Amino acid sequence: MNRDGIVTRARSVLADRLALQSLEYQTPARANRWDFMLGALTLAALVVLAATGIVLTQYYNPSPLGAHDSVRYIITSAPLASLLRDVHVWAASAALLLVFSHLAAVFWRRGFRAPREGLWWSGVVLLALLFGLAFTGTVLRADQEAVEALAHNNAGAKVAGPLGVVMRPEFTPSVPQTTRLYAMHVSALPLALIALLALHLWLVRHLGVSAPGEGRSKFSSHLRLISGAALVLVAIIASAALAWPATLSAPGVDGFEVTKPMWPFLWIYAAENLFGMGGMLVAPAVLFGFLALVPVADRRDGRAASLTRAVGVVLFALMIAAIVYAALAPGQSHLGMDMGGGS
Amino acid sequence: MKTLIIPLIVLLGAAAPHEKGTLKLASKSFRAGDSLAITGAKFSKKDELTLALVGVSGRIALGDVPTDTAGAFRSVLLVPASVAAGQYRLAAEAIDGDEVATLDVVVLAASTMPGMPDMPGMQHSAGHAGTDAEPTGAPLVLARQRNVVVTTTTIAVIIACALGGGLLLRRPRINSMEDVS
Repeated sequence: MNRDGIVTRARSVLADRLALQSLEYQTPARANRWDFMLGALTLAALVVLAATGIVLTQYYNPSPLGAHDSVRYIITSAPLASLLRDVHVWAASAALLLVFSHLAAVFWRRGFRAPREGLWWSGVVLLALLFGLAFTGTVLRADQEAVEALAHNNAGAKVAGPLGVVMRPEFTPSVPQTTRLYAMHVSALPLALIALLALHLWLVRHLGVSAPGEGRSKFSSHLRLISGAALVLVAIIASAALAWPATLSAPGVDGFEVTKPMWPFLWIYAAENLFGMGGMLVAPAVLFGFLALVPVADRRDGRAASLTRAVGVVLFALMIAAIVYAALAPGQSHLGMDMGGGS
Repeated sequence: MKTLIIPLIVLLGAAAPHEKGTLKLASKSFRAGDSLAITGAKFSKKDELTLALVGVSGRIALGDVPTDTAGAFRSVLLVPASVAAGQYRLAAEAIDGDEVATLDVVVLAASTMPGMPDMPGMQHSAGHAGTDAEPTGAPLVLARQRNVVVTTTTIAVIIACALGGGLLLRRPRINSMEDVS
């Protein structure tokens, strides 16, 4: 048997044993475009996050007084863990950037219309979970930004009343709050994410993507393309991690606000700059409220559909503008905290 | 929008009957039997606060402190010698029991931090939150240890991913009617 024969035979054996023929179903050829791969690329970033996060759990100490030291230890004394932490931080940014791009693309092509409302809503909850993971991840560093994030968490949890009880420091005396947020970061939130991802992918498989056009393509071809794109994404994330390692500031000091949050939270920071604590709560409520209403408001072409699209575009533009404004504007303190530097 | 914001702002006002303050200690780890110098700020003016350690073994009252006309206080309280070593929260409670400040602390039994073995590169810098250190968001300048094997392997993985990804994206060329059965 020649070399080609051996390869063909091996592929056939593998395909039979792993039921790879089931990947030969047809999908719209249009789905092979980049704007249809953003969801899969988000998933690839999440896989990187999970893999690097699992390793980091072996180095990170979630006790309030040990947390900062353990991150410092990772950076200064554990080269592999340090690199994986850098990759973890960059993959988090990539996942959030990709999921926003995915959301914008699906919104623009109206991929939320019947029968895909569940697909949209599960995506919206996945977005909220990603925000939760980014937030809890920030707190784990126990540096100044973490302490400020925790102060905002506690203020928000208090306003939320019974709904915020679990997030409050006095929820239980047996486990410190940082440790509880760590547990959420590595268990409850990822489990919820996996469950919703499973639902999301199930719906994609059975409802199909919203991609008009006559052309058809095998899913195995699509899979090859998204695998290639995912590998390129991994290369980009790892290059960024090598070139611009993640930083750590000094251990946080309570009662001061001298930093700005991670970029995906800057639009909330901007709302807080303008409207105080109310802005911090209302801005996400407006965004997620609008996203939840989209499939209800835009069911078929007409005035309501045009209005929904216009509102979505305005909100998206406002969000980008708020992020740019917050990134460029001077730092501001909230919740009665001091700005430091003698102020 | 106003119908949403106004009740929320009213709710915010109703949910905060006391001023939330901050607590500071010289160090966030101390021993049972130690005298603890505690300062507080930004509390309600001319109020009475109860300071307590809250942990798995229960709530250990340290004492009451009055706040001044600026809502601040400075006090030295004794940590009872009977307090078991472990993680606690130092909580400040207003007269109606509302918790207005909290700080994670460790009560030490011995001369070293429990459960924290000395590791190379660890400076035991943690615990500045709630101490008198100056707040800063500037990145620490740390001696980041690089390992030749790790860096070389990473560069190899990057090249492999970029080449492999490029190949998969290039071949086969997908067009609208390809693969139609």
